[in-house]
Amino acid sequence: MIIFKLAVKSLAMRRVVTSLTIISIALSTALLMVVERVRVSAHDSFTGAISQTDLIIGARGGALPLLLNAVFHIGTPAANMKFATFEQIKADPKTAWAVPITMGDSHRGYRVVATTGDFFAHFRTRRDHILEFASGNFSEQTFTAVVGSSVARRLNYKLGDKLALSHGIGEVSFHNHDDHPFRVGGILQATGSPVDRSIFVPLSGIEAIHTGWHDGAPPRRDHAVPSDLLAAEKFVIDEISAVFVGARSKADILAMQRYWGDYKKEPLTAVIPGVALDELWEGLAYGEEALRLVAVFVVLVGLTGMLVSVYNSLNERRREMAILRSLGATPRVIFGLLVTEAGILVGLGAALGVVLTRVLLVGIQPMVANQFGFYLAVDGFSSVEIIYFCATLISGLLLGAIPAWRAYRQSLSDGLVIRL
Amino acid sequence: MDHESPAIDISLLKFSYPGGQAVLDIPELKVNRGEKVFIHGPSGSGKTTLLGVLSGILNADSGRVSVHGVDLANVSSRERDIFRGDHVGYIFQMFNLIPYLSVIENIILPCSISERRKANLAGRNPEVAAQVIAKRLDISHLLPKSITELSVGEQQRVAAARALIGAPKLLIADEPTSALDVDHRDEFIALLNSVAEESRATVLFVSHDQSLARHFHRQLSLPTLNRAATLRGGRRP
Repeated sequence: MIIFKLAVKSLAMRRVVTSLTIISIALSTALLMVVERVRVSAHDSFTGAISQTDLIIGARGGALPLLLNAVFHIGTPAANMKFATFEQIKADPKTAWAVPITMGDSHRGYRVVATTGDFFAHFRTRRDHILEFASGNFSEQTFTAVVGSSVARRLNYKLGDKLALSHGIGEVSFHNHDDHPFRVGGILQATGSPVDRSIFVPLSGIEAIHTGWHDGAPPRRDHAVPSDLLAAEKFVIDEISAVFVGARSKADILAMQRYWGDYKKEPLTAVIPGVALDELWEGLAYGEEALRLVAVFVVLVGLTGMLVSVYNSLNERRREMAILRSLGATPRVIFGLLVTEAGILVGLGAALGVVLTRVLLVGIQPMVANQFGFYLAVDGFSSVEIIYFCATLISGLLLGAIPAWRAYRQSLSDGLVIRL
Repeated sequence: MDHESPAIDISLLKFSYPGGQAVLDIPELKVNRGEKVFIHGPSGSGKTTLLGVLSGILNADSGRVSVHGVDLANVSSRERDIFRGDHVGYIFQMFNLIPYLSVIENIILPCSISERRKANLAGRNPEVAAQVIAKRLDISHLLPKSITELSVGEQQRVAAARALIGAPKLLIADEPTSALDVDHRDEFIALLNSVAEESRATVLFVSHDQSLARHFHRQLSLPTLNRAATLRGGRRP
């Protein structure tokens, strides 16, 4: 008890060095924990970008491009598949549900996904979250659109606003479909998935704005078809980009993947998204390991700062040690005093680091959601964080034993001789 | 601890630092309980080393170092540390106080380290005991101050209060007045002696200043006692 009291008072006297040391430990542990949180959240939102969809089926091509394009809207869409095949998939007895999507257009850099109302009934993101509307709804009416939460916030869209789609997927488009603007009919709540950065329109909408096109070229101005005419028309859809499929029984998924992968009438590729996402993430794991390693080293640097500050204090404290020895303190008490000081520094530093981690996470949460489209969880403590916290404490105490051991030796050799 | 043995009873004490020549070689030294002894010796005569051995910091190579019946040459270093905390009050030449503790915290520190010193307060709270002894040493007004505000003389009085709280049996003072001017020196020693007398402590006062000897019952010359000092010119600091 007296050791703890002495340690606290001694640290309080050297308050500038003490607080700087605590802050440096706090910053380094906070970095470690933020990296860990970001890593876990990135993993969760990556593998949770799509959930409860058992198969993604698209035209024959790479499994990865199909997955990236259909789920993350990364890369250019592969070839299209026939709408008739979608109807076959939907009619298959093993299929519980099937939702078609068509991609290829964009709006100010945000991908446009053409689909049906079934998409909102079956698509699930992280932790089986259903897509919920903040306002409005999805409508099968040709020129209405549903925007994701990021799109709505960034572009400040409200219900009833008009937006023109662009042909192609670049940030800058050479052709805007501004002759046929869409009306915002629904705004989705945030999901922390690529959905937030998407715009959804009915399949008929995409067909409509490309009416009159020939060989990928838009019709001349004077041949353009008026919107109201198109809106009334019943479009026959020929092609789509991909199909999201839910199986009636999980046991059938592999058989379904094989069946549609070998489908005779059209060359197709079928991907099981959960498995493919995990494999993809594993492939990226080395970067994650490197990041974690850097964070661990930063913590070691922080702890070394503590070591240096305790070590530096030893010379000026030889007098104090001699006084304590004269009062009957054993060399073990001297050792304990210095280890306690190190323990207090590391304990307060790591605790402050935990607080700082929360503050940082809350601070960067919106930025991460906007920039990277994933949700940073700030609740509770993961077991890894608790392990990191304890590991920091234990390594701090072990490092603290180095100056303590020196003080122990020093107090034995100095005895009651006061060296200045 | 027996109650008949002398306060200090040294016979055939030999001590040398590792790898060095003999620093202490004392055939005999006896100090009675309650006696106030002035030990005089020029620097290099082994003063600090003798005090180290008597306080149990240093261990004799051979011989007997009996303090109040406990032969310090024959107990473990841990037991010597506990013995020192329980029975020895020590005053250094200067810089006696722990800078991050207040005056009163410095004074009561022995009661936190040694159970015996606390028990000797006879049920009084250490703060109360510190106030009593501070009043006796005329430093009550210093109690709320911080160490850095004290003059050297004031610091030495606080050190004396700390050395005497909880009634240790042996008070060792290692040139405690060398930083004081003449007036304060005599006043300090007179006060120290009278407070020590009240708690019936044996006083061992070491100094190179022989004019102080008149305050004590007996004067010992270390170069005479210590054969090693007469053999060699100098010693470790």
